[in-house]
Amino acid sequence: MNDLGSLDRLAAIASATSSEQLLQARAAGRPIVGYFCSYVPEEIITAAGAVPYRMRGVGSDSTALADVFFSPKNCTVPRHIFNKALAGDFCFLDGLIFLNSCDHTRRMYDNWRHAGLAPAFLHFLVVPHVITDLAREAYVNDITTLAHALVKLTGTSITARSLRTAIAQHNEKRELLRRLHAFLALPRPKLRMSEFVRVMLATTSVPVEKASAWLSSLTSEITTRPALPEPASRLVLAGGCMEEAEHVESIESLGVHAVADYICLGQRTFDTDIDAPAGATMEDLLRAVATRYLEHLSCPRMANDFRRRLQHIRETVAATDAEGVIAEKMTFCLLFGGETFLYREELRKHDIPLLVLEREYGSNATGQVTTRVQAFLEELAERRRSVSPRVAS
Amino acid sequence: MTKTLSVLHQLLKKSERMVSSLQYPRLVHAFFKYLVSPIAFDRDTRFNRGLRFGFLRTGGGTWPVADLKAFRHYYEALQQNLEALLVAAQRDEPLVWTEWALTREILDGFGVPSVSPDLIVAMTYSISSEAAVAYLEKAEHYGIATEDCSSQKGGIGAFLSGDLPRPAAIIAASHPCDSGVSLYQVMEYLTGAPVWMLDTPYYRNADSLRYYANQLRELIAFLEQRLERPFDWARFKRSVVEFNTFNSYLYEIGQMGRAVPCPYSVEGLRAAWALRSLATGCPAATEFARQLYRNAKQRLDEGRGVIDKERIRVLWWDVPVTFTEIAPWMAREFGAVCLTDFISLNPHFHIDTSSENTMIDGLALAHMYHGMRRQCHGPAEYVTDELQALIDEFSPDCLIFARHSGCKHLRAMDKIIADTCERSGLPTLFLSVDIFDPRDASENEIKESIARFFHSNGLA
Repeated sequence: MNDLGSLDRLAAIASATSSEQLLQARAAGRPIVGYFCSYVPEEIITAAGAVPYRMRGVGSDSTALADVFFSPKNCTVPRHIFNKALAGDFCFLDGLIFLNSCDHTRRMYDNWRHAGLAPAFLHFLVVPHVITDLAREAYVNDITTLAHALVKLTGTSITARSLRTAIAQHNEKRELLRRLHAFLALPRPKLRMSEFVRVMLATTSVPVEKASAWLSSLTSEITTRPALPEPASRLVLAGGCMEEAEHVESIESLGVHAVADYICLGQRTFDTDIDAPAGATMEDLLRAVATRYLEHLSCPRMANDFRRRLQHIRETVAATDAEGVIAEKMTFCLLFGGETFLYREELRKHDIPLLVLEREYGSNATGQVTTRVQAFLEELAERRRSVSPRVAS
Repeated sequence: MTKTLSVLHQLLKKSERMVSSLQYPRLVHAFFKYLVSPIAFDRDTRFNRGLRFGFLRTGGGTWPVADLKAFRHYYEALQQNLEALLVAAQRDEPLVWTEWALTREILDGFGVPSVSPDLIVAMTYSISSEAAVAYLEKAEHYGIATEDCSSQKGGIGAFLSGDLPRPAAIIAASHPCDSGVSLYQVMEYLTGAPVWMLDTPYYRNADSLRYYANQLRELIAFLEQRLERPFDWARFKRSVVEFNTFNSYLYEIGQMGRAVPCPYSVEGLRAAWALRSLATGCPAATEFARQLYRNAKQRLDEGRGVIDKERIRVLWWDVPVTFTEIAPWMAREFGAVCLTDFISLNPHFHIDTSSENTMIDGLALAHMYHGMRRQCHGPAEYVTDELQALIDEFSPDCLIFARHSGCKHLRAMDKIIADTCERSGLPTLFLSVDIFDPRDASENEIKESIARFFHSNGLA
């Protein structure tokens, strides 16, 4: 039960495809530009006078339309999002930025064009698969190309000043998200992960200044919120596209409290800020944007960064006094297929219990998930009684 | 784990046997056609398993003798590669793993042997289909996701089984696909050897090629450090010169696919693709390509096809099935010739060898246009434009889209490919196979699908 009015308001926004605030911004002349992933620099969109909107599959219960384009062996996340697109759910978009996040999502760009869907502005941002100096320069070039394209869409020039302002706005939002996120890991937590996921969904479907205002207000309210009941188990939640708050709730209902996340809609989006010193030129700022987005907490698409990801998981477990990790993988996700293998191997070496769940988008509270989580919790309880290393999958 | 490398030793022995026996190609042809074919052509059994794949790979008795003769040099190139690899493994000298859509020129510059973990399952089928599937099972039981591509999965399984030597370094690339990106990280973790991941650009414009070429330069610096030996530009140049010749023959053969009847067998081109990964700078590989070209050119000039009565011209739009060879059966049963696939058509490249820079820049271009990478690394147009050109120029009667289960990006193009073929009025068969794994769809299931398709479309 939520005892905060603003959390309820954000939850309502999170359960819808768009928001009143988004549509008001559009009516006021700010184009809405959709994007898919934490590797797309929102600051560029904001600096161009548009509103970044994170695409989502929220509310989708079918992939029947999308399955004409995709196959049953494709990930259900892009299939649900594309299905919504075919059903007209994203008609408020003025632009859309795709990227090569994964094989399934990159083909959404092709299928979107093949289907002749609006909006007219469809841009493909190429993000490197490695973190190197050469890759950074390539990424700067691609972000610059994106900036030029957005300027043509919006008719608003991006200047060093407007970009610095946008960076400051998004840095502020990230800082507020970090502060909010910290409530998850308190010895007596004051925020649930399912609530946090809803906050993320809501704040990525409104203009950044509105999001920051809400986050600021929410943080103040939660500070005075009573602590939540003590959970049976404190765990870190890891994975890719996990935006179904109901699914997280179903895990929480079993006595799990997720003290931290390592998911696409979570820490990857706000772990670090952009360093934009006063007097920086446009070129410096674009490089700073590229650096931040290339080097943020990575996902398994970044091929030379897995050691840092594994270290991050270990350190997060230690820092949050977590007992173990639940890692999720979407069916047919090749990137998380390898990643969860690495988690298994590495966490076993460090005696950190791990449960790997495989599921499809929208599959909440299935018996299979419930059973496996319950079994994992029993293992953890047994472990508390007699310390012994376990990995469950 | 015990370092047995038994499969590599068996592959070497097989290569040596083929090199010896193919000195007498007429005898081998007769042996295949009259003695082996009755017991091995149609089905894979315990008794014929060790012989069958090699038999089918060299035409299954359907080829002209001259093409068999050419294959002696294929096995020679393979033999040299495997010998160098096993010597290095035995002496604990450095060796390198490379992803299968990369080529050997830079490694020739270091004089270091290599093996492709992605190819090991396909190669193992030529010895034993049981052993190849065992690699896949080993990897899956160890925790590798079943939906990952069986190419990398098989390589991991082979390493876990002690059949691949531990590398000093691994070279991979971000395309063709996510499976490579993901499982090469796993290989780095399991072997302890650093992976140099070439970030394949999404597009093929000047900036992209420059980016890729600069990565190749950094790769050389990385390997110098890792292998503790300097890069030999003269040796590299010799390999590139060899590549230029090798590739020019393959390009010419591929262009002959416009002719009716088709004068070449696609199996030769597929084998050449594998040699690009294993033996680019090897004169035996070039001789293989030269003889294939000479044979095809002769048939072209004489107006003859590679099979006696060509009745159906097939575009295989995907990577070919590797656990068996479907082409000889299609030829024998239906007079169907496979014109090309993702890996058999070689674009025309002549790498400028006048300077170090031009060679690296040219190699970058060659890599980007290498079969499979060329179609899979960018937007859908890279798949469909080439397909449309083949439809327009190669007079196919039908298309078979294999839809390899590991290729998630191709699986996401069902409608795009269907619409391309529909616009051209080309009958299209959509299979659903794992090209490395008969557990997904068996040889018989694939054949039944193709047979039904041919019959129901009036092609047979």
